Amino acid sequence: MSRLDALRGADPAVDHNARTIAALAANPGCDRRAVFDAAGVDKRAIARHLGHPAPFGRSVFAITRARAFEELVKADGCACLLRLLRELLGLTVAEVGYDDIADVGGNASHAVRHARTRALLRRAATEPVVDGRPAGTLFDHPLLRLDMGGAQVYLEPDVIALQAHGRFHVVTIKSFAVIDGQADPAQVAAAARQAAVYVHALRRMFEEEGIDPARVAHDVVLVCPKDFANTPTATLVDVRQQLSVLARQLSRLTRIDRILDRLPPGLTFDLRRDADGTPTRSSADLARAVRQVPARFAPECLSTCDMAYFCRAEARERGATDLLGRAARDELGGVASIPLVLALAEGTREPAADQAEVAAQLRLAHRLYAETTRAMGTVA
Amino acid sequence: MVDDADVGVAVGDEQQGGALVGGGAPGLLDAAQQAARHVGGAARDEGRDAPPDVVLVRERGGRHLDPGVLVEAHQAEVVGRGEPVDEGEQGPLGAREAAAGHGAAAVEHHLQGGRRAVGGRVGVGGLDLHQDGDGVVLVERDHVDVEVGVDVHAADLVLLRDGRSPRILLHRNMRCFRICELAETSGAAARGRVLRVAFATVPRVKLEALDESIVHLRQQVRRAAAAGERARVRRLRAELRAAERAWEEALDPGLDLGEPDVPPVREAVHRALTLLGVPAAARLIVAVDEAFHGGSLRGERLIGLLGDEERAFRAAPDARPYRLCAALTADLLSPARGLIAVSTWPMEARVVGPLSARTGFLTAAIRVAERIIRLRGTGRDAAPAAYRLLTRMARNIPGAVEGYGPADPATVAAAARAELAVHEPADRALRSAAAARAMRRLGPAERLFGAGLRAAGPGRASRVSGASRTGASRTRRTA
Repeated sequence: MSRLDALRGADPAVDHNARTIAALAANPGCDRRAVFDAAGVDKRAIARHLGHPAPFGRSVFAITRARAFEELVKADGCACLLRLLRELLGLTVAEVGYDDIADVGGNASHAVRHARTRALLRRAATEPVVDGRPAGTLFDHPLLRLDMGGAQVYLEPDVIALQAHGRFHVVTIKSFAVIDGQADPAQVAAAARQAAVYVHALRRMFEEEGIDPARVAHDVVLVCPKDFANTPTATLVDVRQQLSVLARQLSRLTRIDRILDRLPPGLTFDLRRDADGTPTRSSADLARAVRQVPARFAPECLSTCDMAYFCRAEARERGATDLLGRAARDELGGVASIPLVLALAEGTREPAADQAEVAAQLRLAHRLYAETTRAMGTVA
Repeated sequence: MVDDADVGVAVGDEQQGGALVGGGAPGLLDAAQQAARHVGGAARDEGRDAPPDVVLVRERGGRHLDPGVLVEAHQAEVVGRGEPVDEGEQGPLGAREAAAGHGAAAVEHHLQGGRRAVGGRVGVGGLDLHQDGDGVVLVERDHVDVEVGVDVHAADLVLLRDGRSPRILLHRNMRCFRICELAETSGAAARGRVLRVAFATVPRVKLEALDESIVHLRQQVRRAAAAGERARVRRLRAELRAAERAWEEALDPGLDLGEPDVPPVREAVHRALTLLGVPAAARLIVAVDEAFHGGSLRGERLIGLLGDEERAFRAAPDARPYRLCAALTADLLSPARGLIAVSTWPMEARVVGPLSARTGFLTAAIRVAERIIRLRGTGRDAAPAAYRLLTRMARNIPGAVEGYGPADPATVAAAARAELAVHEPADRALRSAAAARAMRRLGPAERLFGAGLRAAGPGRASRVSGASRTGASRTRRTA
């Protein structure tokens, strides 16, 4: 049993996906999330058992709708998608090839599917034209692989389309509506972040195969329902910015091995479920184990991480400046707790040598604040 | 469908104990009607004066009923099963309400409204009708898929339709389902609608209570008949049968219900595939059945069909004139996902390559168009569902349809042929090569149901398994 399996305990591993990678990349300094994700720990179950359940999850409606819309777009051999791509990317009539990699000869194991994806895409990229016909155009259910801080993660984009000019595009099918050409910016941003993960993974694969990674377009095709009907529409979304953010943060991800080396031996997050699946481990004991792995809380975590409420409670106990948001925390570099910040500002505590600069700024801010409030008091 | 639909009544846990006083089965029906009023404007309009034809329907029943009493053949459908939402996964209703936004909030509102209506109606009998969970049903045109998985307690749902809005629910194993809200997610389009279903447990109806309600219903039927209220008579008779059925069921729970008398699924599938002439996915087969054969076929009945056919074939290869079989992928000769074919077709027609998804679609469109043209030639026009199918296909064929009106079959066929001509030579070449390989390498059963990786050739198999060994230390999957 590997170290990661021991950390996870008896529960099956929870899968990574583009969403979790986007979230992890958004907070690369968080060891806790890195360890939990690498070990496939069920964060939701842990948070619930710790008494800090995350109050979000995917709605049944959203899942049902997303699935139905995807089926609609892919029905009849992607007939609808082909029409959209012909309009959007100028696919020629001959470009209709469709390969489904959901399984390979009935074998749906990740390694086999990934190998098959690799082989098909390599062929499509190196021999774009066979006997005067385009070799491959649509690849459904491809399986990409990405190295995430030492752990191999498999990713499954919706579809990959191959353009006429030999450019590969990631196609992502989302069920939020585009109304009058406008979609919810938050939804589009989330979709772009996820698509960027796929583009990144696809480029890495091309690199490994010795193919120019620039052949994977930074424009992803976003397919959404149009206006108030269920009619699909396709738009190109430029994910260059998301790609550069992702690439930078992935490279900064602390190697998981290094984090693991720092953890005490015998540490586990096993819930010790009984035969009925009810956790028998005391939540205090589990909390002690979880605290062994340092977290880096930021208010943004609340919308992306199951553990966020636990981490926030923990940060509150410590009076950590993390609670104030990333910008404030970085401004206060070196001063970790809010009481200390206040003490430095009020001058009731002498700053250490490395805190002198921050302390001077804090005192200045405190004086300005005091003068302003006093002045306002006189006016009133 | 009518034959297999039998009137029943929701009977529940004995432990719940409370007898249904006075109301009996009718009480439950009325409760369901109350819930149905929440379904949509149309239902609400006629809610009071002409209660909708909501009855409890059993999924399997041997008894032949007067079709008029129950529901029209196309009105009732077993739609699969619902599942109480896992609380751990989805959180309490409140949380989901927040997550799903306005739609869920509206549903929740109706859910509570519906529950109140039920409780108020039958509360006198000490009947504690509580909500056990809920699920989501997706209505796709006239057939229905249940998207959430299956729970051991959850019973088969039956959807009744009155032509305007999908209505209601029903029950087997101790459960009653109410559809509390129809959430329109797709504007005027008729597809992609999501229904929310609440599950409730009702206590076992005691024989005495049923006796009482049967007597009561007979009186009501008599009065309604005397007053010439034919619609009311129909409804009441359905309820009466429901109550009688429940009485017999309560008396002898082991009653043999027999096999439903519906045309076998495989024949309906065969009919649709013969029309199409190419391997097709369940979705298209169901659509064709609906367009040209009245739509007795339901999507979920196709699940596991090929497995059954394969077992039957292996047991007795020559027992049937044809088998439904898999389409084989041209490269690995393994079963192509989701496609169904017919064993009597030549091997070339049962192999699919990368281009076959498109050629199959175009061929299917041509066949559908030709069938409509033939029907017109005989003086009968095709059903509106056939034109809907044709138009839907035509939208994805260049030059096949203009604007938003229904497609013209001759134009569709011509446009599809024009594109087909581009792909067909390459597709055919690939298919015949693969078919020849299949005939050489595969045994009789594999020719129909496909080979695994090994049978496709040692070279490829070893390469793939070799690749699997290169897998990294930790592998994980994404959804």
